[in-house]
Amino acid sequence: MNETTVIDVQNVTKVYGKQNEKQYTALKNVNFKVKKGEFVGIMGASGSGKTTLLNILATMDKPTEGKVVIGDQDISELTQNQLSDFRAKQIGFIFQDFNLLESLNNAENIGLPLTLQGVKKRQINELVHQIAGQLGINALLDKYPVEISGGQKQRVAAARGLISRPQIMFADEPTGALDSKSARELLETLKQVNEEEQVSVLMVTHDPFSASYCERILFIKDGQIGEQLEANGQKRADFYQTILNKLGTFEDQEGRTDVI
Amino acid sequence: MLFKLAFINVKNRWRDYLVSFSGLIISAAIFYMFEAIATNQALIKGNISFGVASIVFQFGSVLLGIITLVYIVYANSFLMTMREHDYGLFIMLGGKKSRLGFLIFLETLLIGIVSTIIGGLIGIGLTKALGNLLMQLLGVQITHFNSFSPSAVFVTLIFFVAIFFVASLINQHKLLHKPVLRLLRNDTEADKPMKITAWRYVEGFLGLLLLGIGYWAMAAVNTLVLMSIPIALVTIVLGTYFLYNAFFQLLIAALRKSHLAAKGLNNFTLGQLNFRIRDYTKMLTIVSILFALALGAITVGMGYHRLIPTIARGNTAYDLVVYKKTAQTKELMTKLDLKQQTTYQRKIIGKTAYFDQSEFQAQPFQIADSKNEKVTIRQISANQVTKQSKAREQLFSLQANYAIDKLKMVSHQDFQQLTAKASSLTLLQTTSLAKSAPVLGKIANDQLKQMNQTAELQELGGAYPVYQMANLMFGGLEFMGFFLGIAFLTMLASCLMFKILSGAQADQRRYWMLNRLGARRSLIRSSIRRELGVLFLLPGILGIVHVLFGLKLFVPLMGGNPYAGLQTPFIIFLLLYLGYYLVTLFIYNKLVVPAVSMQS
Ligand SMILES: Nc1ncnc2c1ncn2[C@@H]1O[C@H](COP(=O)(O)OP(=O)(O)OP(=O)(O)O)[C@@H](O)[C@H]1O
Ligand SMILES: [Mg+2]
Repeated sequence: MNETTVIDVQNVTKVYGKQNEKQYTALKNVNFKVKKGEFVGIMGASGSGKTTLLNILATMDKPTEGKVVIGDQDISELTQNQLSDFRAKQIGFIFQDFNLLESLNNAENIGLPLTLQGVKKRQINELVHQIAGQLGINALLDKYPVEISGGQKQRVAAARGLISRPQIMFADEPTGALDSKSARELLETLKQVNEEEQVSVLMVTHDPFSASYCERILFIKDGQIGEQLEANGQKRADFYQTILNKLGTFEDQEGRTDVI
Repeated sequence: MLFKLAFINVKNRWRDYLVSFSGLIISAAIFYMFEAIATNQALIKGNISFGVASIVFQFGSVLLGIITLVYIVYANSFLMTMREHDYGLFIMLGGKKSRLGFLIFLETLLIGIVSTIIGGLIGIGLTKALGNLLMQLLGVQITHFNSFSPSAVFVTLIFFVAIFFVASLINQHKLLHKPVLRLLRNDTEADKPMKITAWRYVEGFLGLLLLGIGYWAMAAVNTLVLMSIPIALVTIVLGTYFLYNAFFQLLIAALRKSHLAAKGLNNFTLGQLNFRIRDYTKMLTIVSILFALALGAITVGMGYHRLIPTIARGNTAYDLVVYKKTAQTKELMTKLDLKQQTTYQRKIIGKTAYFDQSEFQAQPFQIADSKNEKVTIRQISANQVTKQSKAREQLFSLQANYAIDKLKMVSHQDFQQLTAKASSLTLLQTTSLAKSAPVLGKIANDQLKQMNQTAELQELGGAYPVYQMANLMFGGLEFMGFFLGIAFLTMLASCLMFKILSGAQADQRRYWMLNRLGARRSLIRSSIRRELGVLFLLPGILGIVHVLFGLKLFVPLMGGNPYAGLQTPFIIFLLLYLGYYLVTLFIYNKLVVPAVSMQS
């Protein structure tokens, strides 16, 4: 496997609230790297800083301290417009709530990042059909978001995230609103592009089953990365068990069952 | 518990509440402004000299009433959607429906009463401010103008409380019959894609057809007479509605298929617009009609004002006649910006006035011709003055203070030999009647003092007395045109602004997502500019077209050409409207455009 680093997080700290307000440190001195083609999971209790971290990586928010390098670009050096272009070209998103535009049909939704970059209509059409074929959602293209199910919406959103062939795909609890079958389908899709296209995936999740698709899991606690878990070539079912066990030890430590 | 919920809700969404609350207040204020004039019979009778005025105002009252009703229903349902979630929660937690129903009823009524009272107070202030401002700008004096009118307060209060009472009942009914889950999810159905059916095409065609009939009805006012207005009103309102409901949507659907849509955010913008226009159909219809009414009121008002100089100067080339040059008159005359000053000697024997022809040769007499609102002045040769009928008439009218029935032009010698006391007529012609009016007024007063006690202004010759009267007559009309026009404009622009801003909450999510997908902020901004621009532009254009055809109604009333000098009212109006657009754009941008920067 290729060993290039695509994400390099260095000493990132995030403090919410202005100087004269009540301040809250959501991330404390976070460091980690993600290699090209890696499938990384982030787990942690509610309020531990997962979304905050993901937003910073996805250039949607700015760290109070530290730096984030994506590819070989220090994102804090980018201007507003460069950031927009960077988001459109280099990274893909899937959110927990599907976030499709109701006024556009699914094909238009998928093509939106390309439209924003001024790609020609014919070319967009071609690419949309290509990615839709890859994810098996060809039949949905002419429909509108209100006409399809939650799981289907999430796959459309995944197609949109992938259309510009980004280096990295960010997903914040992508299976959170899905039933187990739809969740499994989406995860398979992610795994597939991850393996076929060497797209790195960084996924926040609460769900041990979803996490078992990852190669490596970062556990975040009170804004700091505590432990890591690596699949090391284990079968998914085994890794799933490992994760469950790990979560079990957290429960024992904290004496609660609702940690994650 | 519910009170606490309500309080927290208001605190969290004060911006939305502020928007809709100020909407309600403005509508109450405008309604009051209108009623302050409409219920003031003395004002209408004293300042507008044509009989249909009070019919026009009653008609306007009804129209404004309907518009206000629709507006309040809108604002109210918006307020309700903000509260739905709380109500759902309350019911889910085991609250009694009957108690909730009562609370909703009280809440709506309370909001109504509070906003009516505040709106009424603001209305009184606005009436006073706008009234004074307009009187100053237009240079007219309006008698019986009262900013505080008990009957207007009464009408406004009754009307609004009644509407809110009904609205409370509707709200109560709606909420109690909605499934709890729908309340909790707070979902809107407006986002469904539009199906283009054959009926849409029929509607679109019908819209154009109805508008055509309406325009024709207004143009054919001479044959249809009084039927013209009701026909036009019904067809134009319906036609406008269909146009929004079908025609524009078909247009957008067509645009989305074109190549234009593939660029940047165009497709998104078109999608937004499509959804908006569907959601706004009724609102846009009202706004278009209001736009036409407001612009029409101002244009007609100004049209009459514009007629004043024509009326005044159409029948004489001179502004005022001075009979006796008293010291005071002489002094005042030095203050005038005179174009010309002509003095003729006159001798009166019996009922015949004699003039010296040589004087008319030295300083030719001038007469005014008016044709199509254009006044031209020409000189008359001395021997024609008493022969040509127009010149004779105009010379007669300059001596209105004497009972004369014959004019004679005689040679210099003959004039000298006439045994009668010579008097002089000094004819003043200023560069601008409007500018000189104050000084001319003082001169006229001085001249009147020299005559007998009962002499009235009209007995003085020249354009000034006519100008003064026309000003009184049409000034009132113009004042009301402007007053109503601006009131209507405020109402319509607030309607639009309120409607747009109340959707900001939902839009914010969309723009944030676009931002995440890598839409540059400039792109988002330009998309918003266009979207709001179209929403303002469509009713603006339709409104202007309505007015252009509507002015046909005034062809018989105004005699001349109601289309002359359109640009002034149009420019004033469009500037105000543009101002509203910019304010809305500014606020909306503040509300929805995401701002994250890596550079601090
Ligand atoms: N805009 C903000 N201002 C202040 N504090 C914030 C803000 N956003 C998040 N926080 C705080 O930062 C902490 C981390 O929040 P974050 O959303 O990253 O948690 P999370 O791990 O994603 O939780 P969850 O699993 O519930 O989504 C929380 O304690 C939260 O209260
Ligand atoms: Mg989160």
